[in-house]
Amino acid sequence: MQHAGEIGELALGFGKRFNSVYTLDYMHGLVREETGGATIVTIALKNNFDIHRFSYGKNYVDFYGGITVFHVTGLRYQAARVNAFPEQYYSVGSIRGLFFLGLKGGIKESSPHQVFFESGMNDIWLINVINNNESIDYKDYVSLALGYNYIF
Amino acid sequence: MKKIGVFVLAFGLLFLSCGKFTVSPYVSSTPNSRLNQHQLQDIKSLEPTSSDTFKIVALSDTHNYYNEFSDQIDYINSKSGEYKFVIISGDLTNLGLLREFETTKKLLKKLRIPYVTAVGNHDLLSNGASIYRQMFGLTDYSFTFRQTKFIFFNNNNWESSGIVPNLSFVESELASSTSTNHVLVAHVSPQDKDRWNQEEKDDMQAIVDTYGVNYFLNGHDHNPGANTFGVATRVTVGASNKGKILELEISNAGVTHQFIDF
Repeated sequence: MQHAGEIGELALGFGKRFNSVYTLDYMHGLVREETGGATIVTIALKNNFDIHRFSYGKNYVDFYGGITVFHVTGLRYQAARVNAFPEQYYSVGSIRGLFFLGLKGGIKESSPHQVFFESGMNDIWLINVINNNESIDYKDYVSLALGYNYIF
Repeated sequence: MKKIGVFVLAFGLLFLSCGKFTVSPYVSSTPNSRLNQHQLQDIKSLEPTSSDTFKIVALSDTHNYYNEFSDQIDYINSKSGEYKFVIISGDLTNLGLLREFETTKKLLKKLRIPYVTAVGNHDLLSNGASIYRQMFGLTDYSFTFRQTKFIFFNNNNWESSGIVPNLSFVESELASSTSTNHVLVAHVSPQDKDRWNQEEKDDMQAIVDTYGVNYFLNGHDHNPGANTFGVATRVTVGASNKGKILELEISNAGVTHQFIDF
């Protein structure tokens, strides 16, 4: 379960831990019209790579990073939609990649409850910040997320 | 281990303090600031002078070229008092995203003279049409400054719904005008071979010729240039990264232009 991070006011999903480093989450996110000006439905694949675990007695904090690849449903977001424009007039507008770093932790290593905090930047802003470092401030483009994992 | 813990804490605090909980890059809710309306008030309130001659500048296709756009603004600000206002002929954004509009708005705040904008095809992607309406206002509008009437209209036909361009609006604005000069501003060239068939080009040209339009300013093509369109001079303003600024000198005798290297 996640709030923000560019995939919705609330995103729900499930994941699978493939090994000690890599976890893949599949999530559905929603932004209500009242909040976003339009209802926005997002499908996301979150690729998480654990970098380091810090243990404090029974407690722990994992430092991790990754990329969320997300797609926003609806023709208006697909700038390359069929028939409206000549082929390749626009690049695909509905798929983005969000690069993030995060911290996740729990009270006990054996506990199924885990909370996380992430901070990232999507591909558009990353390119803009790199190409326009004199005129725009990277801090305006950092996107935060909060979430909760229940580990089965 | 203690050092690493401090690093993690510092990382968390650093990013927590500078980021935003962004629910989606595609949101369109923004205050109804209607910037063009406010800018037009500023243009209206400009001090009258004894001379009938004045200069303005035009920019276009600023999207993704924020460094160059910022340099253009600095150049215009450095020519204090030389220009009355700035026209931006569309494509303020690349994907019509709110954060792109906000970035442009933030840079435009640096301008020390008023500006007015036309809507570009990229500004209408995603929820861009809604954001543009809220942030900048109407896409079809006109104003008169001294002896010259400026008519801005949306001619991004592929990206818009409804009848676009609204030639009835353009024609009625020209028909009701008592101004000496007429300048049309739209994003796409009326001679664009991909978007207009011959009949559509002829319809636009008939209006230009009938009402003796002096200049047609457009963006869209990033390379600056000029040619004729009926009786009008048609100028492609050019994108910010091309290193040029279009300057228009306007008087009772007509309109002239030149591209300034900056």
